[in-house]
Amino acid sequence: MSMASRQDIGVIARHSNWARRDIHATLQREVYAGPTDWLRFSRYFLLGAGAAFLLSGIVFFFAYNWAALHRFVKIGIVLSLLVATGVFGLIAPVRETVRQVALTAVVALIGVLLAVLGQIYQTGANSYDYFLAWTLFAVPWVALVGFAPLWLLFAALLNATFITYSQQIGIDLTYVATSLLLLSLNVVCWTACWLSWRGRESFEWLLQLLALWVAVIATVNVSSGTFDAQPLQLGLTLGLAVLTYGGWVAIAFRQCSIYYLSVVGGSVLITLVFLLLRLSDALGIFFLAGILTLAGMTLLANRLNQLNKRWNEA
Amino acid sequence: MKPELIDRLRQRAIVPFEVDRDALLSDRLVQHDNAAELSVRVLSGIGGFFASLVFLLALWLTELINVPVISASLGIALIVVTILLGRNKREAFLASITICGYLVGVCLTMVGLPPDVSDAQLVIPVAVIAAATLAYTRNYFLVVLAVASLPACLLYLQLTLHSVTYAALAVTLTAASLVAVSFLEYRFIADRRFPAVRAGLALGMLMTLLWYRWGQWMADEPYERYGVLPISLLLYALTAFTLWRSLPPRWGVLAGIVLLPFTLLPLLLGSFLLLLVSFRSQHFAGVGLGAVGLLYFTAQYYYDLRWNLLDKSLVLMASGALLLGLYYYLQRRIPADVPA
Repeated sequence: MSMASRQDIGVIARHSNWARRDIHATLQREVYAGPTDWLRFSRYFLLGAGAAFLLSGIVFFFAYNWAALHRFVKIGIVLSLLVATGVFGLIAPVRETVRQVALTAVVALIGVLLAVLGQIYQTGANSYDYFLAWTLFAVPWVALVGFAPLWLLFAALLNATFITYSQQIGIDLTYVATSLLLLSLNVVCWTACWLSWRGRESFEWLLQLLALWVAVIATVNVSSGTFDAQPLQLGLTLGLAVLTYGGWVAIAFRQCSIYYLSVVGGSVLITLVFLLLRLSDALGIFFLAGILTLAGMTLLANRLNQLNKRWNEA
Repeated sequence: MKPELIDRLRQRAIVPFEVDRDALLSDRLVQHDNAAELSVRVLSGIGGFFASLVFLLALWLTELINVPVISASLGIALIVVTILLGRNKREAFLASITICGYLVGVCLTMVGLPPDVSDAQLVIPVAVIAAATLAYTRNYFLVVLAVASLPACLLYLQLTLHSVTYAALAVTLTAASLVAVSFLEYRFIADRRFPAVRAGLALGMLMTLLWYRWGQWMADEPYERYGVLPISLLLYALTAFTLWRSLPPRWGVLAGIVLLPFTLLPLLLGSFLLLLVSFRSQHFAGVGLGAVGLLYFTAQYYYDLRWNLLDKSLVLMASGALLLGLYYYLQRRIPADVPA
């Protein structure tokens, strides 16, 4: 038995003399959240918010430079928390979600432990080696646990490591070269995620988020780096972007998914508009850019909608 | 739509009803033509917004924007054309154009009004344009913009009249409208504007909450500790009402008690209300906006608190432990493998 969607109910209500009381009952029965949905919502909310609040509290507890505690006590507290959470996550007879959240907490606590060590031995709060060490120690856990929020944390750590590296060590690198490396890093990250977890529904949002981040980096790089004096790096950036976009288009057609096509189309169009605006600051160029944006987006949205309909009908 | 679905709904109805199947079919075809994925809608919205910025920049460069007669006439003409375009059934195709036309039209009309019109009076044309849009079009994108522009008018009044009352009014009216629209859906669901009105209110809710946080410095009034109390109480009353109507009574009361301390944090409570109302009616765009609001205001409150790091961390740890304790209690009372 197929359930009625909100759209179905709306269209039937529009072309019938359906009583409001019955519409209300149908909405409650077939559309609104039922007891099972509320229970699932409560579980995810309490577990997610509870773990996030507790971890943030622990992080800030150690960020507060509490002189009253001896350094070994500080390290001991974090280490005990880390070991206890790890043991709980690995051997306690709990639901899979609780286990995954606990093991994600372990990776967060590794960061706290390294921060406490950094605080005690004054290695610098945001130095790149802190993020590098955190990333390296996180690798085994990421390999062990297939949990999308943990992979997101790992991707954020990789980005933080590279950005702090480029600001503190690699300051001689040009803007275009730095951007090219950041783009490459995130393309590799997306590819690893896709190779490991494609087809898993729980990872779909992470793949989409990473793809959007890659597209933002590529769009900003190509739009802003056009007139810089590094044609080789710019060419490589452009080449990598084209290769990645080509791959996404192929995936979109194979999976009949409109998301990647929207990201690629939007990124290409915005890049073209910015390139046009950088060509000249003549008045006509602004009008042309506006028209190009409108016409491009209209045609793109139209083509994507048609394609989506064809896929849905097939 | 499958005929058996209609037959099933007719069989379950207490009051018998008849369906005009031909009209329903043609309506479905129009809906089918206009169906667009969320990513394409967002893309169209970004395109329309970006194009309107480029056009306004171009108009500013030509200095046409500084000639009131030209600016106002162009603005009004654009609004009329946009509303007429909005009546066209191919709304997905025209999305970027209508968004751009509406935004540029409203800006030009406001800029082009005579100099003796005060800043505060500028909200009148915006409200009139919004009312005209709601009355004359069923276009999803235009209705979202029109609905979101109404609380924006109140926020603009705070900017010009320097009174925080307008921002408070914007938050309370938007929250009350969102809850009312959600609970009275069965009355409005036949109206084509309904999905857009709800999306506009959800967007407006997050916008007013953000403004309420950041707009405080614009008000000339001295900060009062209990100034937020009316908003807090109203948001709490709406949240408690939503819980009472959605959960079994005992759970509703328990959740209401747990949320009581949140009256001290009205912005967090407002985001939670948006999340709850949207989840109840399974409106996933609203759920996303509510979750974003919760994340943002949690971080914001952390930075706003005039406590030292130690006190902040202790409160965070205690809140986390309390939430995890509730999770454990829920698991014990209703294990995951037992149906609710």
